[in-house]
Amino acid sequence: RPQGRTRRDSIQSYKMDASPCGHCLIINNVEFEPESELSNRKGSNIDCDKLESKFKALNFIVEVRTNLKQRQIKHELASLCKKDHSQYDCCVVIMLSHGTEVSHNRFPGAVYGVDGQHVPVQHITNYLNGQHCPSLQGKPKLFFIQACGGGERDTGFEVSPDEVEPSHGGADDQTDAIPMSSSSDSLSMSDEPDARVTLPTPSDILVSYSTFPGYVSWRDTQSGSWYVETLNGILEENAATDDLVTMLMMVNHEVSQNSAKGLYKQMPGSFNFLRKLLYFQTQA
Amino acid sequence: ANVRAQMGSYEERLASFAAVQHPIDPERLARAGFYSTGARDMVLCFRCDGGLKGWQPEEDPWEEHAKHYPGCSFLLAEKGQEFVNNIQLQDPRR
Repeated sequence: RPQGRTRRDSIQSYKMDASPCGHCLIINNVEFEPESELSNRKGSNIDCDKLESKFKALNFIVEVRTNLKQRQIKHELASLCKKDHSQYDCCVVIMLSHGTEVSHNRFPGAVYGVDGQHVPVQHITNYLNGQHCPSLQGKPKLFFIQACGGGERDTGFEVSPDEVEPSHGGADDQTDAIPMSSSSDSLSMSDEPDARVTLPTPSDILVSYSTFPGYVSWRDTQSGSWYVETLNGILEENAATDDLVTMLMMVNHEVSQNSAKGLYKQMPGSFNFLRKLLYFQTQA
Repeated sequence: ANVRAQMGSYEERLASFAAVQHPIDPERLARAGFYSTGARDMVLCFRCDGGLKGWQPEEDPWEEHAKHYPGCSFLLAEKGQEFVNNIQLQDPRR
């Protein structure tokens, strides 16, 4: 592992010394329209505040958008894609919302707008790929997603089904899942078969999910979500010395060990198509 | 889609390699969800439709599946999230 200042000269690391480093868009969906039948995400503003100050500290230009409908999410991503990123080294998108399961062989899952319409993660990443956003070609594009991929609760292995009680987790814990119902069946196969061998592998994209699509993601109404709390803490402690992928391994470990917070377990997922190590800027 | 549906069976996938010289053991490929397209060493996953070619003899079919198609539901069901995470969070210089 590279030490100290010399690490940025390494040929295997992304150039990350532009100042500011790049744009960071945070979409924070808290209050959902009644017709969406999705609950309000109490505690999400805590997540949002943490990540806003964290990415500002990492020298990103952070913009926060609150309570966006599907159409508005697409609009924000399209404007981010149209920006000129040639002076910057990186781009970050953070989504805090409810989510659902949508199958895709690289970037499964989808995130809800406050109107109850979802945007597949695969489409979210496509806005910034080399084809649609040439000024980010070859630069790392990072997506952090706090959302459920579905309603399946991961109870871990040590708990037998009859021990599972209706009150799961701490009293303040809520999930970012939607209940699985027959109406959501139509969502699961709705994406295009675009992963043929003839298409290039998505490069320089990393998606960090709070949980694997198909599982719930826990959020404490007082302290925010397990995932964001852990991610924020790991970035705080280790960004000066460790690369992103190493830190995400630490996040996975810590969140999956988080059994003290309740009966149900949670395992974040990382879908990583980066080609080099990524070290954040930790000194302005 | 019909071919993919058929290839849900391990035996069908294995049989698809009968006339193919493949650098990887067909049993290991078939177990990892892959069937032969008949075009050189190119294989497809029956579940996620992810394709892989240009195989090196030392490569592991499950690892390659997890590296390129981490969202495949067959992969996740058979190998679990931790396996996929471990492959995805390897050193990118690998």
